[in-house]
Amino acid sequence: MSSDEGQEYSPELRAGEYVLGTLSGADREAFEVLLRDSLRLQQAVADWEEKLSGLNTVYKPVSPPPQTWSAITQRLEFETDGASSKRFWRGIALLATAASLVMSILLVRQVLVDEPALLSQVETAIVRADNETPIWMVVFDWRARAFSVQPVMAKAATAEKDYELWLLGPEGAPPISFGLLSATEPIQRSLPVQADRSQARAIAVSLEPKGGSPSGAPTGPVMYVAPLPEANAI
Amino acid sequence: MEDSADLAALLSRVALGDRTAFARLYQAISSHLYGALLRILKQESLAEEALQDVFLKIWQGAGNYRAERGAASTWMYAIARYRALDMLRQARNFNHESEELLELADKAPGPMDLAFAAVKSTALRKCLEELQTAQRDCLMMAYCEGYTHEEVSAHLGSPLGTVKSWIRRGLESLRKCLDR
Repeated sequence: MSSDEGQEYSPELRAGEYVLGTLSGADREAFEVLLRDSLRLQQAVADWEEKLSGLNTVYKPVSPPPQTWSAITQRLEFETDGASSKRFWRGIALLATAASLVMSILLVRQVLVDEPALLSQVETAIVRADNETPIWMVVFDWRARAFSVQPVMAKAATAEKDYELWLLGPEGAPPISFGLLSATEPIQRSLPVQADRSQARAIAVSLEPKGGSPSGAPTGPVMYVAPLPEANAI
Repeated sequence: MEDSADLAALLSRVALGDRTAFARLYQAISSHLYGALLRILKQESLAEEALQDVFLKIWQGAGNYRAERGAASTWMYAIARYRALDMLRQARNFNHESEELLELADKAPGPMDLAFAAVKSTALRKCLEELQTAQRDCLMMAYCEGYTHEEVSAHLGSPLGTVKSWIRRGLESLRKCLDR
């Protein structure tokens, strides 16, 4: 009984050992690499996790140290910083009254081709100039936590400037940068970790020095703003 | 713990970036995940660090959770266990394996009977009961304590090859039983 002879070490069994935890160092890493691209292995791992999940009741609950939650929120940059946001919000308020601001939002519910049972929460915002020319189209997939920006009729900023996209939360909260926009290239990125749809009120585009805001907050004039609908309307 | 559907609902709101839902999720499940991390890592400082990492992963990955693939708690426990196992692996790289193993062999055998009594799922209990005792002990030790083959072998005083075989046969039998 001291050898594995006659016992087939199938991928499914390997997945079982992965979930159990007995796949050792280098084997475990190698398995994780395979796992990334293999639907079969992912399914096997999910199966084993469910099969063995009955063992999770063996773990007795223990209250974590009280400071852990604040450590988590700090790491997620939930804490807000006051000063530069106030200036930005004043700028927004002025722009909102100006006639040059026009933006429309399309709410799109898309059924994903491969997962017909699920609705993907996809939201599209079209940045338009005041003559209604569409400039950029921004698509948010809040569930997949990704977004894309497609230039439509965008013009490049001057050589020393860049356009930067921001998500605006509650008044007073610092805007969250979604990075630089391009006049020519589509962009696809993950949503910033702290981007919160339920708290988001608008998106905005500001004109920054080349390379984007040096401070992490908007420093240049806001060119375009559009309000987002209430989160529970999605 | 809140029931499965409630946790899944919270996760889907977390996927939308809902911080209130994230805080409620923490209230609901953090002590369960922390208990698991403490059992595997055996040190409070490591377990606390791991718990932070786990909730960051939950925040970032909530959009990947698919309810039809399994329960929300299963998904989150898995994140916790894998984080703990990764930390153990990193720690082992710096330790003298032989010293550690001697230490383990000196300790009293783990209370696997108590662990078995804590298994609530009737299907799993029944299938675990059908296993040979050695197979069951190996599986539970590996899962609950995060032991490697070597550590289980040292703990039980059985040869390494035998332990590997028990674990593989145990998994096979468990799978066949649960798939019935």
